[in-house]
Amino acid sequence: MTVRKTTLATALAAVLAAAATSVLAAPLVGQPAPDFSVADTKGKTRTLGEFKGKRVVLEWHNQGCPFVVKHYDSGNMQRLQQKLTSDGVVWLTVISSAPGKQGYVTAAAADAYVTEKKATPTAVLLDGDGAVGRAYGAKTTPHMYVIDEKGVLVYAGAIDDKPSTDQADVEGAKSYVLAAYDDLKAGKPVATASTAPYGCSVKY
Amino acid sequence: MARWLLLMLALLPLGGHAAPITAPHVRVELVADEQSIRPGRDAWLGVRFAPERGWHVYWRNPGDSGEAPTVAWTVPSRLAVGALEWPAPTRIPIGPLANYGYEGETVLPARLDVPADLAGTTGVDVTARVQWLVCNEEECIPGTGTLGLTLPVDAGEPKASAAAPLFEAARARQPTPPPSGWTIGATADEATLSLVVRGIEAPLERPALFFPFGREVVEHAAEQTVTAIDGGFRLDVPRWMPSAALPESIDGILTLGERSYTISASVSGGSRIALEALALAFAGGLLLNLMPCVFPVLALKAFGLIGLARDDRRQARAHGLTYAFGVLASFWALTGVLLAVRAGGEPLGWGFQLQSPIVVAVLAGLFFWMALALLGVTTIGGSLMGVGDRLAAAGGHRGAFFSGVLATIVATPCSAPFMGTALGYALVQPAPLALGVFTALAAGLAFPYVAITFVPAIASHLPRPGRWMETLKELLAFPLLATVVWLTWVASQQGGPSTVAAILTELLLLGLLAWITARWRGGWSRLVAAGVAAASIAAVGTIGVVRDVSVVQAAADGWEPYSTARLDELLRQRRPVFVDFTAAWCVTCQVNERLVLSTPAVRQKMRDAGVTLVRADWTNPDPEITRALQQFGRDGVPLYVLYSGRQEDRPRILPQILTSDLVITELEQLDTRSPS
Repeated sequence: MTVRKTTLATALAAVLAAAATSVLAAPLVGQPAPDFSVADTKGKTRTLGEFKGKRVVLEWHNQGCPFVVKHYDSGNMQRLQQKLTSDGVVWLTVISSAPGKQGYVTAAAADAYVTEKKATPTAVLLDGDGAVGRAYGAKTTPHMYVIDEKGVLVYAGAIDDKPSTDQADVEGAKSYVLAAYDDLKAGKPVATASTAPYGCSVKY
Repeated sequence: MARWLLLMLALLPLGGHAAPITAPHVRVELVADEQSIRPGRDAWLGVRFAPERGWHVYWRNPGDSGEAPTVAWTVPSRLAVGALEWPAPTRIPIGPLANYGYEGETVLPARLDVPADLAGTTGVDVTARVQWLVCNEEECIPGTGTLGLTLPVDAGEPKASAAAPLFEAARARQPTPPPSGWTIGATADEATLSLVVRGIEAPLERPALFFPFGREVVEHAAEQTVTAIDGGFRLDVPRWMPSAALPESIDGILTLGERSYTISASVSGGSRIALEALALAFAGGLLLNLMPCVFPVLALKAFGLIGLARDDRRQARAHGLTYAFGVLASFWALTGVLLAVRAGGEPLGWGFQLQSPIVVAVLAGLFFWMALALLGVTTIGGSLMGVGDRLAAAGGHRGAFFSGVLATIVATPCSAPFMGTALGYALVQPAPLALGVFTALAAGLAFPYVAITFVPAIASHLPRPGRWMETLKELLAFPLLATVVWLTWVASQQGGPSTVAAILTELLLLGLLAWITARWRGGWSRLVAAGVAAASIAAVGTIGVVRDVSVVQAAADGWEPYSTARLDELLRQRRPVFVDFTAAWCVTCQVNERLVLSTPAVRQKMRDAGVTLVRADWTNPDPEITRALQQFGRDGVPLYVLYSGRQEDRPRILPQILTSDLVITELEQLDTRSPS
């Protein structure tokens, strides 16, 4: 009995050690997107399952990150949100910063930011323990994901092709998210389905 | 007051310094490694970053997050600043992610091209608009600023500036081209990218880490594992996206302990590429059938099938298969030799057979004899080619098998255009795959004859036998004789006039031998024939002994001979360079040289573009050139490489079959900033 317990404990320790040292394992594009269950700023529990039949965009967010600032201060992110949500897309802004780290905010502060920036996400998810971020292998803010109506991940990566903090680069950048959405809408396979995301590291 | 003034003067920057920007968590400054500029001598500028402890700035590829600094230079019109020369970074783990950057004080140097004529200039103003991102584990802060520096122009020997030690440190961490003894290959499967480095003599320095230039190459934070292999090591790195398309080549730097090397290795592997190589090898084998050295043999064998009765079909099939087996077995033997020699550490490439003038002489003799057989001078050996005989008389299965061997031997001098790529790929692969490629090549070579024996429809489309066959047979002797002419010319490049004399003597004696054996049978004539044959062999043997050492390669004509040192020097000077990897025995090479590279239009364009022409002549064995070929994943010639002269550009590899238009278009795209 003791022996068994020890074996079990060793196995558990090994698994934990592996988990601690492993890199973020991203879900594969073309595979079902991982489901999650996490509270939004209104205190409501949100799951991916509840949006079945709709297209979903996930945006990793940290309001202190200069790359995020670039896209919000230039109005680029809001324009994208406006365009897609008015088309029936569910837009979920995810904050995975751990308590005490940059970007970690209370529900009220997150809502105040949305109001101030005139952003229009469907919901802002508070992922302080990083469970959603790790499930998706979110590396940077912003890191963007597009999920089709069947719940399949069709795009993961950068918001556009200009990896910088310079607002001047928004003009003329190719939006990978928009391109993926357009392909999805046209019933075509997404041409550019994964890119290396850019930005600040997610503050797990 | 005077004291204050003195103190302020002392604090004023000397030449080579200007006011730094003190930004949050980092100081940024424009520096030069010398206090003055000397006309005609390149100087070094640099942007110095001094982040606070725990903060870092980024390398050219920032890794999972972050952003590389950018510098936009403004200098007087006659001067030019080169690209930033990034010192090797360190890998900075950030939680589950990894960044590539610099944690301590770092200078990012850039070369300032200074013309010899700076008359009337007393000082050079340099400004740099710098953008950066400085991060710690918690946050990132972008910064931007314009930095200025005025450097006096002075014909005297410049003095080192206060920043010189930082430049020295940056130089020490600057990646260099790998030592010429190394061969570096890359293979990839679904999940893992492997760099295979061989030819390392010293013990492996650790840690070994690969930093890719591109962001979508490897999983930056993943552990890289090093495995020692014979004569080197293998570095396995998990790929960025297992499903992503395989990159054409792996570019980045490899750090081993304190040293770092620039790596550009073409990627082989993955089932798709393996299949491609197999298909190419098969196509190359098919094409070999049409080469002047093989075609006569094959054509005559095909005629042997004409008019076969239905009953003979089965026998014909068996004959075809035995022939195919002969081809396969010879190729396997050849592969075995190649792999064994390579395992012994000797760099060996395709075409190595022709690097020995003795082999060339033996082949010339063989082709000459075959031509004599076709012309009816001799009957010895004719049956192997199916001369005049019906199948049943063609030596049975043993004869068919040796026909296959003969076809392989005569095919070796004719390297079809496709073969270089496929065989180059094969030779850097693990043995089973190498064997696979050679097998595909053999199958391609054997295929047409086997097809004729198996598909009666093809055979029935062949014309009826008649006198024309005799005429054609004799006619086919002449392509073989043409091959003899060519082989003799090749040998003349390798060994000079005495080698040519030896080969001609050999051919003369072979002719005599053919005449004697045809004219008389048995008795004393056998003795004489044996004597003549021995003399012929002796003639070939003299090549090994008497060989004109001082064969001057047709250098001149604007081409410089290849050496790694010379190429490195030219590239350091940022000159565009065209390297022609060639050999006298490589037909494709000769055709490209005559029809494209030596045409006035192409030569003029080369001159206009300021391209330095370098010829790597592989006619005789040259380990330096073999290694250079292997660095491009090749094991044979031709190979054409065009360097733009800009360090950030990868060399362009041109196709094996050139056209003037293609070369001119490539040259026009060079956009050379002509060296002053």
